[in-house]
Amino acid sequence: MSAAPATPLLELVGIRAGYGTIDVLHGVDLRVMPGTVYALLGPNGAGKTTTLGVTSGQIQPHAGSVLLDGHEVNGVSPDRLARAGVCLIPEGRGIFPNLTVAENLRMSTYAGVSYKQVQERAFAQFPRLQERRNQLAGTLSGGEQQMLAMSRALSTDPAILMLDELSMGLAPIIVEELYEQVASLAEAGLSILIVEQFAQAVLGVANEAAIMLHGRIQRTGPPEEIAEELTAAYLGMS
Amino acid sequence: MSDATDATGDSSRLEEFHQEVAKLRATGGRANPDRWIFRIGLILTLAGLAFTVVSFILTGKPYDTEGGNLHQSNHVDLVVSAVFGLSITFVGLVMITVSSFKRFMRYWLVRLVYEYREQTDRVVGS
Repeated sequence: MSAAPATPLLELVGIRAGYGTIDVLHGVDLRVMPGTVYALLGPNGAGKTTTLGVTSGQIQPHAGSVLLDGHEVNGVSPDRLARAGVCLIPEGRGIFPNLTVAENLRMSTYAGVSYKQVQERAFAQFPRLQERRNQLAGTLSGGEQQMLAMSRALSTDPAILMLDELSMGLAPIIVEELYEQVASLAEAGLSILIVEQFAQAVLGVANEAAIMLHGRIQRTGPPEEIAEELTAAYLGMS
Repeated sequence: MSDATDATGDSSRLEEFHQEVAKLRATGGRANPDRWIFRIGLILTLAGLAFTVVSFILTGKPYDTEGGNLHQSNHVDLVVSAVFGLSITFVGLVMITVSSFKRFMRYWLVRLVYEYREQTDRVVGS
């Protein structure tokens, strides 16, 4: 891997954002360096998903800046950001349940990657999907659906991958398997921003972590330090 | 390339990303084209209607009150103004219709996706 430049690949500076006139984020700052995994942790309603909405261009901030590679991208449409390489796997996976696995993969050829290449990448990463290629995506298990969502995202060759609640509704063994994939992606140099409510698995692969409460980043640091403070933060004792 | 990790870890991909990002143009984060199209459409509709109504009223008074003569040129001007007002109203109404239709279609699409998902969950659950 080449030496990481000093400029963060993704940076949020003083972001205030919300829905209508109500602010959910009250000045969020975070930095994701190239080739690192940043874990954003916090309880339900802390503003984690809104943060991803701002980063992916779906929610326009009321104040503050979204920077990609040091370049301000406030107001750039989500599709332009996606084409540039900012990829979000939303909570609930965002797959097409009434289409087969193969058809879902075909839907991710918008980025100019051929269907054959998309399939090759997906099946190399998740061989189980090859066995299920003609099955309706809605009838897959939760873990397989998440694999399909990840393979669709990776087939577009993203520069930044954002994962919203990867472990939601999945058995611990499946979560472990998925985080092994996340770790291997990070090792290969992909920058990843993960939002999670349940912290144990993600802290094992993260380079940096942050605790978010009530729309603010309360604490940022190495995963080991954050792990120690997490319970207190969730219980409102910090 | 058969593995996604190869693709994502490639430093050339990062270089490509730098170039892609440099092309993106920030709009300040407050852009909402549909809302602006709707507002401009509304203003054009109201302004056009006002223009038309005023022109129409004035065409009803084509006579010089002192001499009692019809000023043909004034009359034609006012008719042209009324038609111009109607054109502006039409453009405004088209803008309102387009922005409202786009909003409705977006809502309809989201609802469809949600209903499909609910339906699939029910089928899988039964």
